[in-house]
Amino acid sequence: MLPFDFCYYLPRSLSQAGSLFEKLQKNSAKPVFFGGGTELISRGRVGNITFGAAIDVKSIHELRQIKDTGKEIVIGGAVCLREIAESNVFPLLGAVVKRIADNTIQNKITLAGNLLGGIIYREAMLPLLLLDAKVVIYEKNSTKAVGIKDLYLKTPLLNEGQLLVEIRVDKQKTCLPWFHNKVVKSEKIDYPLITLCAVKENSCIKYAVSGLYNHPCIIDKESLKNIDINQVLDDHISSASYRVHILKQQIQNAHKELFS
Amino acid sequence: MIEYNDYQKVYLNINGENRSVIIKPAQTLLDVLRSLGLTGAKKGCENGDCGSCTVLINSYPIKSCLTLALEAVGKQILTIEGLKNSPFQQAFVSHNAFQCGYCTPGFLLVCHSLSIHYPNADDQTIAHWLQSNICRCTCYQEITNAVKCKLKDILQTKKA
Repeated sequence: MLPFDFCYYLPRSLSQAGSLFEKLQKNSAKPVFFGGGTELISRGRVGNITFGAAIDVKSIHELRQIKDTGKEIVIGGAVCLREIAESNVFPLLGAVVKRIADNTIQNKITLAGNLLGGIIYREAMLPLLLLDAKVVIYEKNSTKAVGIKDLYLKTPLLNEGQLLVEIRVDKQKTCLPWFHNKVVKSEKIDYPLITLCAVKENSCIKYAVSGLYNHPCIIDKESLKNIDINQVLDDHISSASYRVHILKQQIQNAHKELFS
Repeated sequence: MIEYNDYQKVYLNINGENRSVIIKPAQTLLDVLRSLGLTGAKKGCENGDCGSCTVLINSYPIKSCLTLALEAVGKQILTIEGLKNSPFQQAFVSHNAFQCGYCTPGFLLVCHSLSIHYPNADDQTIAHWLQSNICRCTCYQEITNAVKCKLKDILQTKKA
């Protein structure tokens, strides 16, 4: 049981969810959008966060769809990680989300939850950064599409009251040759020491990494040469210099695999 | 739009029965199941790490400590109490796949779900599914043996 009371709402449409959020915010009810809820429940239980209203967005059609429009792959924000992996519409993203948390939790964590949550690794972001995904956001009765590269360094990623509806990726790009590897300290289920994703396009490889800094990022040869070791994560999982060493090793592996 | 404030009567479909319960939004599914006497789902870490609270919702495993009871309204909940005569239960006994038994309900439900969704599961898939649960008596090898043996049996029975 969570140690505080709150109201629970189940809106059926984006407009219901949006107007409800605004109304509750005006009434100082501290609303949150609730998808998988794993982070809200676990952090709420230990008193790290409180909220007065949980707006469960899992019944909103737009947030629950996985769609192939012919030109684009569209994945709703409330689609769980297992559904993304099983759908196989975006193989690189499928491979990445299959290594986030464990198989059972993947039935609960949503795409938006991984991208917007408080855990810094946000590994689902890596394929989206590499393929220049668009993020569709709902706010105040309208939706807008924003490039993921314009968003990913923001903290928090979205403003209060904004709802991540879906991500859109060019379908052709999802077929590019790719590489993914997650290196962990010892247990298979753990936060990454380094997670590297790469895609090859026109004989050129693009890399995205999680576990290097306190946010996922794109990395190229130049930035690899100029890594500021003081900015690299240095914690109980690994020293900063070891993370850089593993990153360089993984980049070599990706290069070998994608050019073999 | 559905709205729940404070304590309210709802129906949960648990093990094929519609049970009326009076719950409030802050209650997790684990709390509610245990308050109904369904104590097979165990409180372990209450943080989604150990898997001892695993139940099935619409045939997929979820950690009931990280699920609000209200999220399960309108869905099929299966707990260990409803898993009557599952082939895996006997396999766990014959392969000595438990010692203290605290993790066993969670493991059995994961195995049951695996057999529904991946009856032809390879070693990698089995390992991927079983990694969601922790056994501090470290019966992992025995559990894996039980699962592999029973999946093989199920497949052979289907072929026959």
